[in-house]
Amino acid sequence: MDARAVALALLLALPAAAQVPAGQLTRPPELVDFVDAEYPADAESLGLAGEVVLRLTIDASGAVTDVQVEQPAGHGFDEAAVEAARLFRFRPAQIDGQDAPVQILYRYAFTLAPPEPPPAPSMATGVVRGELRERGTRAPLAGFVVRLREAGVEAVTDAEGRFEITGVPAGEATIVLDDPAYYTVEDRETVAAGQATELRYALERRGAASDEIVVVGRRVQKEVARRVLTLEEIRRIPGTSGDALKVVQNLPGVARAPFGGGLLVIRGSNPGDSGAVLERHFIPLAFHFGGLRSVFSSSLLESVDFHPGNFGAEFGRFSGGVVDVRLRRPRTDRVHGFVEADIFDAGFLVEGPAGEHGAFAVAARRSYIDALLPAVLPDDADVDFVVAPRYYDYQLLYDWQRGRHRVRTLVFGSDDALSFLLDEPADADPVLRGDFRNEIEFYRLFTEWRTRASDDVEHALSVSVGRNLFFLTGTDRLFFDLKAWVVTARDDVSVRLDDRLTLRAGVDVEALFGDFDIVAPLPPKEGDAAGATTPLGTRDPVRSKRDFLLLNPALWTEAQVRATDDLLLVPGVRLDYDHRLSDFAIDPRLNARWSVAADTTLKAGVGRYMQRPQPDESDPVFGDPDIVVERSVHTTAGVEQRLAPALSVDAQVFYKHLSALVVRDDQGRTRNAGEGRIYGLEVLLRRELSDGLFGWISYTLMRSERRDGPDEAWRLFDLDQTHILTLIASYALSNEWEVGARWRYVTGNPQTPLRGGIYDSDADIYAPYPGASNSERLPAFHQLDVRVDRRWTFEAWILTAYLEIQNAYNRENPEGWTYDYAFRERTIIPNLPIIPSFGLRGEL
Amino acid sequence: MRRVFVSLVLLAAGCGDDFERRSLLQAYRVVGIAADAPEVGPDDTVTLRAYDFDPASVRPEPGAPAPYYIWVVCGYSLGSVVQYDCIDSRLEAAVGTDGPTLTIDLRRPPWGGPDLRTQYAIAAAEAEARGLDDVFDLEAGVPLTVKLYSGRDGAGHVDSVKQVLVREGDATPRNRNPEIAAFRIGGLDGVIAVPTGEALFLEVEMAPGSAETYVDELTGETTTEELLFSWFTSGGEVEPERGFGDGTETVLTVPETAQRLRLFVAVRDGRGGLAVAERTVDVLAPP
Repeated sequence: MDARAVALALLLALPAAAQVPAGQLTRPPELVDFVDAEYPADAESLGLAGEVVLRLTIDASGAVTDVQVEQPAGHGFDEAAVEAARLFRFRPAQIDGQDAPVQILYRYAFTLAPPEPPPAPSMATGVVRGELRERGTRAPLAGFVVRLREAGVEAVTDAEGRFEITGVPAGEATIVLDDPAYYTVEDRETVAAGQATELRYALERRGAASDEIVVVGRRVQKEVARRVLTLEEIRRIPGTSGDALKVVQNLPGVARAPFGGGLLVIRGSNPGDSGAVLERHFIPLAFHFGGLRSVFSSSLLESVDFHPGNFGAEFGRFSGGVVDVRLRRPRTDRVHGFVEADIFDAGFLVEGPAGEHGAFAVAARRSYIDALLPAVLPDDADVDFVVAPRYYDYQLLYDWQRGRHRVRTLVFGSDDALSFLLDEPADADPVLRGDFRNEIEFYRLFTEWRTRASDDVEHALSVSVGRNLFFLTGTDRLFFDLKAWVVTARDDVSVRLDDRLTLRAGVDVEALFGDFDIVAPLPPKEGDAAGATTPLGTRDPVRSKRDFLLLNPALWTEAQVRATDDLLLVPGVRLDYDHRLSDFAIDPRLNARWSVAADTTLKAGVGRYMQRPQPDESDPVFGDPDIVVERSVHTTAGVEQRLAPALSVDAQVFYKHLSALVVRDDQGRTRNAGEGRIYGLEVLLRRELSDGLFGWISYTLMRSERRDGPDEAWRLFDLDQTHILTLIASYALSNEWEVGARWRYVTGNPQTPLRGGIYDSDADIYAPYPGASNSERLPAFHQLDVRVDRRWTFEAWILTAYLEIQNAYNRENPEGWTYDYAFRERTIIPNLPIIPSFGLRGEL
Repeated sequence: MRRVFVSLVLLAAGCGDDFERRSLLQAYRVVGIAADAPEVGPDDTVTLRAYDFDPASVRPEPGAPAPYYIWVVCGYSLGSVVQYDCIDSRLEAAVGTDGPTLTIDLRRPPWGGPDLRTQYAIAAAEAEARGLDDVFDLEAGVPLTVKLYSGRDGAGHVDSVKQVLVREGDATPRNRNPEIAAFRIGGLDGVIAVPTGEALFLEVEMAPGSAETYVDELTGETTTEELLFSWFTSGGEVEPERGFGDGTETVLTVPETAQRLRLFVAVRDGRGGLAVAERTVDVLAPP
């Protein structure tokens, strides 16, 4: 009896133990050089057969770079399969049309070959062919094994999910589809001699749906502090309604925003010192009113990379952190889409192919709080909403790709409006009366051309043009009308010189021009409790009305140096110029990653960063045009340790020094006299999605301090939070039901106590006497959010419903103090009580 | 700016309704300081009068001392964000008075030195040398800041402040105080006596011309003052506590116990002008 090894081919080219989410698998890897394994002698002598499931890591050239045994078979089969698989050669997989590394599961079957059967008469065989699609999404299933049990033959589906098996003996046949990611299907069919049997199967995915592909090492992990979320995880996190940018607020280093608002307070920096970039172009607004939603549909995102500090030279103009949002390529197999709605808003997405090389996506969302809020407000409320909080956003994406060229064009925008009427003067400040209106709008046209001149040279040119519009009016002391054109352009080149050295460089230009008319009192600076709490009615407004031009060009370059197989060094430098301030910054940066063991990576980084002052701070009326840019130095060191296949820990310590911070002096003028120091520890213990369970424990221990001049005492930063603990877990009970919970504990924010006030006779209101700045704290915040998802899978579509309960045990969390009219007594301002919300999503 | 708007929404939502109402006069309070006139020239004399409430005026306290009044006059302050502290101690002086009235002759500032015009000219030159323009510009107007520390032992203490605009020239008409023509309770003038728990309309009638027309220096637009009416009572409740524009009336619900009430209405023009009127109501137990 001859012994031979039979490879049963690819099982899966989908999620593996990966770290980087990517675009769409446009071509599965194809085995072109198969190597027979040597049949273990002992097993052969005992007449044993076996199957070994291997996890193969295939690089962008199609070579197998790593082989791990996922399901051992023993008896020497494992070693033999690994040895053979290392020599396999694949036609590389493609992601979004480009060769890319992937991981696959591969079943290597060892069977003892039966005696050669006598040749069957040709009329006694038939053909079995058909196609496989995913139930609900109807996506073709490529790279799947279709087995005919009795015949012992199999086939692999092509990119369209089709397969064909010839020479199938006539009679009963059992078709076996036993992919681990899908519920197993066994079907009995009768194969007629000389005829073709057509079959169609819709396989139901185990666990929650995922249209994401996770690719290993698609972008080089070169930063020290970068953290990556997969969209599948994002959708399931309680308390965020599946919003990608809101999830960032649950990661280490990010302070809890008061009232759950949209502030990004990263590693103790001012909210204005951090921001979100879309394809590395700054977007002026991350969230709609109140932080309810981000301004961009999460369903169009490929990845959200969060850089709490020590980011590379390609990013600039922020001294805090960066949320780097990347677009995914729309799906091209057919038209897909979804409609979703919850208690706040409703939205949709449609995507699909557009021509031979193109793909499109259209998404939009609109709130209906403006329709619901007037219905729930009591008739005798002092406030009449003319336009209750209303927002909408939209995205239109076209993605063209052919050969080495890719062109993407995106139109997107956001619009928020709120208008209300105060029938009576507010108790706290009588000038607060009458009409109030606030509108925030921006829109952009973004175009990018990305090309690969060769396998080693990549070039990307992108331009974004649009407008920022901000309007605010209320009382005779508050008026803000800003109209700005915004043009940003980037030209980035990456050249791989050899296996150990890649150079990257680029130009990054930002221009804003337009006009504004502002009437307002001097805005308070961070830590200025008097300015922040003094009633508007006691303050004299000033006016600034002018045209403006802000021109901020920058050059950057960095090298990715693989000094040894285990050590990656990334030195870089960025040169920023601020035309308005006539100031420039040269910011060198260095990051290093050292893989000291297979599961252990040490990392460290140091770099300088600049921050353009807020626009009012350099205005001749509201500030001082002679100020310069703010500076900071980031230092981070840490370790990444994989504890188990789906369990990892990332721990970092950091120190950040801020200098030339803009403060207001005792004459009301702005000066670069401030200084800051921020230090802490961040730990992220993360369970990646496996067996239906994922979650993380995020903990930050931090202290953020400021002083407003070299001779001033250090004080706490406004949003300093010593302990920030977030526990998140989500578990799929079955294919239909999933539950999740998030619990947070956060130290209360510092507060400046107010100790009485002085009665301003002209305004009929008290102005407070502030105590020592940020010398007291609010009680700690803790809250539980829970979420239950139910999923129904139909032949052609999927319906998901969820119930989310925020603040499940109805904790009265303090967000600040409110005082009596004379600032003698105080009570807390509580956060929102228990809030249940409900949502539906139907997808094709 | 978004934070400002969130604050406005919170204010509109009525946060902090659990505190004592600002319109309820229980301890010593100042309900307004009027300057005659609210806008003066550097050679003028200005008289300030504090309208205050002493609980002994409705609940006699035998042996209670008289209220005290300490005035502090300052040539220039950056305003409420520095709690009206004087920008320079050389421009400040304390003046005690026996009663709630203070008269200042601007040709002889209380802190000494030459007349106010000369002192402002010197200060303007110093400020300009430090890069501060338009700080002591009498053409645009300089606010004279007058603080009042007043109260009575056992009845409470109040810090209060009033600013008087000192402006050179009379090309633009100077602001005047509004004038109250009548303060009626239940449509009646004179002494009022009502049973406990009664609800009464309080109404104020302004003299013609009280709401003046002026040119807003920030916008350059011609604007008419919008008067703000603030109501106070030593017992019971007034609702609404404030009104503006046409809000010249409110409703007083008198307490359930017999007592004498003092009622005030303070009318402000938003530019430093103030008029205050006062009435008394006797709340009687039902027969």
